[in-house]
Amino acid sequence: MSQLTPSRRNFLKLLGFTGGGLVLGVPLVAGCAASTRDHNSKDKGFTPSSFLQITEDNEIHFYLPQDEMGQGIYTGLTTLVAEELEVNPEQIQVHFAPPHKDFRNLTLEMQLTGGSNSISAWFRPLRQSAANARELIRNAAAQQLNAPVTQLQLQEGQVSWRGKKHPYGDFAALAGTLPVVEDAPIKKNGDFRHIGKSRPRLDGIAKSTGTAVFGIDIDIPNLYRAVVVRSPVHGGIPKQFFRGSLPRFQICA
Amino acid sequence: MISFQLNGEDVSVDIPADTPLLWVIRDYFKLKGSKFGCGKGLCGACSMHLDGDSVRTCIHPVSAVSGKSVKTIEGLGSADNLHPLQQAWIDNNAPQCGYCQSGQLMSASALLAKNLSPSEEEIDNAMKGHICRCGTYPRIKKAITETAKALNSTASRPVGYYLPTENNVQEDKGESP
Repeated sequence: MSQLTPSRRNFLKLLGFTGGGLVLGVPLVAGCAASTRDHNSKDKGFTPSSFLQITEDNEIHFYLPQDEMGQGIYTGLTTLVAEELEVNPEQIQVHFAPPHKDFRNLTLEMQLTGGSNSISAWFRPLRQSAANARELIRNAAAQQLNAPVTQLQLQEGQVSWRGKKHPYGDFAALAGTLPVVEDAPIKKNGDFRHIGKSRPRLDGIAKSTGTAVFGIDIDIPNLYRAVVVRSPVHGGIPKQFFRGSLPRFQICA
Repeated sequence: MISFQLNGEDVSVDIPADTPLLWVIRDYFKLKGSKFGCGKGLCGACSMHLDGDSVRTCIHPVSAVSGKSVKTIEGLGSADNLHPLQQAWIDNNAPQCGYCQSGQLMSASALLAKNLSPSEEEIDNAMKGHICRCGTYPRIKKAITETAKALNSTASRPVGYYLPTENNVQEDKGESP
């Protein structure tokens, strides 16, 4: 939160956060295996993972802890966050989380995507985290607008008070200084606005315009790509190999 | 030096003549939307338009495009100027993992550029050989069929026109403050 430990700050730097705002991790969920997560132990040097950021200019960032490989969790997990944060899924900027223990799957106890468990594993943790963030925004808004907490409506990324709508970002700075909320109410199954509804995939535009980034699309300095040269006929084996015919490539084997 | 047109611009490259066009586009021009799948022209992920025809660029030497016109997925449309097929792809949730979709779109758009009323068989013929691990074929076919129908009903609409639909995610956003 506001009193980030140095290691926490470094972690945020690693993620490319430059501005201020509200950053929240996933809390320890009742019933989960014992964890070293502890929101209040800022002096212990342990830092909760960073799934959500709301900036003062009202950008909402979500760090997707698992991989999108066609199963749709880019949309699915983001929808869980949107549901409890009271924003539309399209308002959230989704980023792939870097490897870090904070992003481990609490069921599998490692950062791994597989076993068809992404939604079930994250269904409660991500919603709880987003709900906590929502309540912090609400508390901050109440303070900043001098309004009773119970009379504020939060919807579509905005706080409504006396007919006026304020974007969440207006309260991000203050929310970051307030006492952490760990057990904000989450919705009952019948109350969902986004979960369970069919909608266009959030990555549909990227995947229909060639702008979705896959592993093979990453360029780093001095990167060499190896491509298997296949025989033009089935079962063929190389007779000769002219190393010198590939001057532009480094031969690794 | 090999010169050709890339997405409407004149370009030249100094590169070994037998380099597959795909790698020239991906590694030299840094357009990463076209994918490497099999390297043998069998899967379709690398498809681009060459003078309007959909070709497998992983086996197409760059020397063979000299003086010709190449169009990649980047030249087909972009998020704020979608090709009608791209809009239909989005509306139908066609992509899953998405890896094959650039190639699929290039073949589909090459088909519709020549034939705005393709039969089911003509669609199958144009799209066969495009392999999709996720099995998105039925939605792709539906997207092509719908696009052809929409373009036919508004014959004056230029290709590249943004087709508004009820499903458009961008219409779904809340009011800004």
